Amino acid sequence: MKSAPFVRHVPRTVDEATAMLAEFGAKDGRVLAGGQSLVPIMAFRMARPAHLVDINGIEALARQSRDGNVLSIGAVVRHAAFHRPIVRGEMGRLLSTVVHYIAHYPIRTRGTFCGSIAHADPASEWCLVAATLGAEMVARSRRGPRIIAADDFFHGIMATALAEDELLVEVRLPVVSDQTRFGFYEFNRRAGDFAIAMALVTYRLADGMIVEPRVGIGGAEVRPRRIAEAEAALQGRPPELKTFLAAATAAADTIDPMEDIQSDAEYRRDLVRTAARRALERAAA
Amino acid sequence: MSASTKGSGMAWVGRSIRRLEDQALLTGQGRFTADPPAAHWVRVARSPIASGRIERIEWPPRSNVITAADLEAVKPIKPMLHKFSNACHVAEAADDVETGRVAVAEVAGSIINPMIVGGQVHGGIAQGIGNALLEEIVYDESGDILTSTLAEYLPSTAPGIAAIELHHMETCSEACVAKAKGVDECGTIGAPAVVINAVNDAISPFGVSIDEIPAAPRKIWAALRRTMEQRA
Repeated sequence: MKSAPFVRHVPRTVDEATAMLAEFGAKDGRVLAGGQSLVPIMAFRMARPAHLVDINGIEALARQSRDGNVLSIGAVVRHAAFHRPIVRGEMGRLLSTVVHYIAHYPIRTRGTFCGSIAHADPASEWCLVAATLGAEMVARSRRGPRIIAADDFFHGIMATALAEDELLVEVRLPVVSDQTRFGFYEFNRRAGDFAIAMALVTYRLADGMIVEPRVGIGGAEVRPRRIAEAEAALQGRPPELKTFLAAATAAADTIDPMEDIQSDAEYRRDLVRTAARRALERAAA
Repeated sequence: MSASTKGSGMAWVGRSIRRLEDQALLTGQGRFTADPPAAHWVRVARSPIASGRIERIEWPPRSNVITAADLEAVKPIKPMLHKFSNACHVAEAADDVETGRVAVAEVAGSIINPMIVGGQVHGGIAQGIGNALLEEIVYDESGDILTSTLAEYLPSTAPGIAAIELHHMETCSEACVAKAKGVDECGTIGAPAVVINAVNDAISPFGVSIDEIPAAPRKIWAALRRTMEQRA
C-alpha cells in the first residue's frame, strides 16, 4: 500500500522548522527525521499526516557534542553514529552496546536517536537509556525553548510531553563516569525484533558496595522507567547473586506489565525478573 | 501466510492421516480392478516387501493362483517413478530455562538428490525452523486474526538460523529426462519435527515436553514453570 497524500516541507534552519510546525502542527503535521517508524505506518495508512516537516536538511541538528558531563545529541544524528563509541570511556561503550539491539543495520543507518525518543515506543532501547540515565529533552517552538526531564517526557505508548508545534531538537544525556558499571539485557523472539522485556542497569562500587544504582526497565510497561524498589534493594549491598535476585524480584513485583500476543502479563513479569538479573550480572562481569 | 501454510501441508505435520480407501475396504464396499475367473473364494495376498522378487507361491489343492499378469484389466505395474526427494534431519537445541528461548545449534540433513541445491535446502530448513519455533496464526475469542501482518506473524530471519551442515546422496529419477528430483520440501518437512524433538530432549530433565508447534518461548516457559511450582 502507498501512503495517503501529504505535503512535504523542507526547512533549512530550526527557526524555519518551528515556523512550519506552528502553521501545520495542528493540521495533522508531523516531523519527519529518519522515517523508520513513521513511513511504514504511513504506508499501512495507520498514520495519515497531511504535512511532513522534513528536518533532514537542517545541518545544525546533525551533530552531537560533549560539554563536561553532558552529551548532546542533535535531532538528525543516526543510530549508526553510535556503532562505535561516540565518546570515550564507559558512556561510549554503553551506547555502542545498546545500539546493536536496535532493529537491523539498514534501519540504524537512517533512523535517528531523537526520532526514537519522540516516537516513544515502549520497546525503544534509546527511550530506556534516556529514562535510566535521566536525560533532558530540549523542545523548541515559536513559543520558545523548553527542557523536559525524562520522568515527565514519556507519557505512555507513543505518547510524550511534546506539543504539536514543538520540535525535539536535542537530547542531553548525563555522561556516566568511567567508574560506572553498566549492564544491558534484552529479550525478543528474533534478533532485531521489538523487546518483550529489557533492562539497563548502572551502578558504582564504593568500598565493595553498590552505590548510585539505577535500574531501568523497558518493553514491559507502557513506558520505560526506573524502578525505585529495585534500586533500593541494591543500594549499599555487595554485588552478588543474592543482591541481584532481590533487586530483579523487586522490579518484577513492581511493574504493571503490558499484554500482547507474544506475552501475557505473568510471562512478561518473569522475563523482567530474568532481564534485570542478567543485566546486573553483565554489569558485575 | 495462512494459505501457503495450509498449501504446503504444515497443518498435517506430525499427525496421523486416515487413508481414503480404508472405509470402503472395511465395510465390504471395496471395488476391484477385475473379476477373477470362476471365483468362489478369493484371498488377495500382498507382499509385505516393497520391491522383492516372488520366486515361488504355495497354494492348497483344488485352488488356483492368479497374479496381476493373468488379468487383462490390470495394467502392468511400473516401478514407482517419482521426482521428489527424501531427507533425514538431525538437530541440537539448547533451551534457556528462564525465558524459554531455543537456540538451534545444528541441523544436519542427509539428502538423496542428484543436484547441488544447498541454498534451496537451507531456505526450506529456515522455513521449517520458523514453523517449529516462530510462525503462528493467532485468533482472538471473536475469531479476528491477530497475526495478519509481518509485525505479528514471525517467519525465520537469518540471524535465528543455526549453521546448517548438509550431506548429499544421489539417487537419479527415471521419471524425467534430466533424472532430477525437486528438493524444495525436503528441508521444510523434516525440520519442524526434528527441532521439536531436540527441544523436548533439551527440556526432558525437567519432566516436560511440548506437543504443538510452534514451540513459542512462552509455551516452554509455562510448561517449565508448572513443573517447578509442583516441585517447590
